Amino acid sequence: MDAELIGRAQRGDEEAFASLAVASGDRLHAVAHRILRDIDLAEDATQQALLAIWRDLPQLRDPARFDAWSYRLLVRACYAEGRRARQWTPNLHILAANVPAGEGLSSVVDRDQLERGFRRLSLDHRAVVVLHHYLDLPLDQVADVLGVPVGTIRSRLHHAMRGLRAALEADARPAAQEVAQ
Amino acid sequence: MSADRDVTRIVRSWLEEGATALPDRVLDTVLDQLPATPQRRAAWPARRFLSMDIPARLAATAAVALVAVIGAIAIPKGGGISAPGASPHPTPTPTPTPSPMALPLNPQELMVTEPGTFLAGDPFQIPITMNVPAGWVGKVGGPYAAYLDRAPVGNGDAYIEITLSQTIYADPCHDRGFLAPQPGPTVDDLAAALARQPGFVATTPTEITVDGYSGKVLTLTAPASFDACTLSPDGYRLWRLPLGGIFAFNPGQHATLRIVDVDGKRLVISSDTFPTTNAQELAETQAIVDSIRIAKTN
Repeated sequence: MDAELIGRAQRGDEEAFASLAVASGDRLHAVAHRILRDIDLAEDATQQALLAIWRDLPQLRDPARFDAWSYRLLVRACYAEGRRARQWTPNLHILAANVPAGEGLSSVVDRDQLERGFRRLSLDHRAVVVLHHYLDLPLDQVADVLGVPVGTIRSRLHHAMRGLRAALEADARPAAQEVAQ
Repeated sequence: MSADRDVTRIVRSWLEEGATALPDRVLDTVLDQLPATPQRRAAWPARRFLSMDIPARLAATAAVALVAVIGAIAIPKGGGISAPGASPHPTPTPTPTPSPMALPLNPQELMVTEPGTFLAGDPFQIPITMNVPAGWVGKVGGPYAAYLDRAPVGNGDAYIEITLSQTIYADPCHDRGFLAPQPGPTVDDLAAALARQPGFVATTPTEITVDGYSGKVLTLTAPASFDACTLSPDGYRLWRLPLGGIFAFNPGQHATLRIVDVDGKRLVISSDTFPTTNAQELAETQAIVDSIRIAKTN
């Protein structure tokens, strides 16, 4: 991210912040959607995170850390939205239209099982999986974003992947009875 | 579907699906609210090292190099960790002068980028210095924990945890709460309790001294698989610290636990490695542990 742009936004330049928000909005929204598994909650979380970024930006000392810092605020917003909503739909089967068969993702059943397994995880565990496996952040940076020890991150990741593996290994269930959102 | 690598690949592929574009209306809402959302001005904490401006950073780097040189000259040969038979009386070594670099405090910064002598100090209750080579990161987690990790952090990379005030779990494999009763207050009490923990291959505690402070050392090795465990959400856990930090193991993890009494406080220095940890990291881990100096606390 452009350090000069960040500096201007830190000094209250709304145009500079608008550029920052445009540049980072999609990325933050993608992360929020993957953690929360709900498009409306993800939009609300991203909106709250962007406002928090604007509000707290003068306190960011090192512009090089903007991305990690913004993820921290986003994850906090996701936690807040998750607590507020408490309306998880663990039995819903979400199928995106025209979803291509991803590499290694062999079937709709796999997606459904992953969705179920992921929704059973706590937000703490989901955040670790998304930050590490979607954003490719190393574990020390995940620990930095979430403000917990690296050992805890390792443990959460292990637990989460174990749960997802178990979900994938579960017997295939008929998709006909499930509701597409 | 048996290999962890396959699961990781499938999960990564699955995560690629889903929304990416933030709708314009959300962005517009944010920008509309900016005039009514005042910014909070900064109040910089004094201890932040890694965020210093360039001149200060250069000066600090020079100081680290100076400390490292002075430390190599000034650290007494009697310090560090030794086998039984060393001096039975604590001979604490004063913190080297000039002061070493402070490990950053959680959660402000995690990274330590320059090698040198670092201090795990305030708010950690026992000031400890150690020589940190290039490629390691670390931080003080709070009053009860300090951490060093070989970067890039990930499965198979060594790390060191220095902790106080552990509350021991009853069973790492199954969520059965805390051990009851907890171990007594002495080094021997904790060493014996850890050696009796189910779910580990443990060695018999033996005598050790760390920078002149006497104690016990033992090793715990976790099994190669936790498939038979129900596990708590925090994994294969050994203990919890007062502010919530949890020491949990990965499969095959090997911990060497050095437990010493420092002026009435029971300190545990754990160095953790894995079957895949390479020889260089093993050597670096040992060198860091050997360099540990404990400052007098009263």
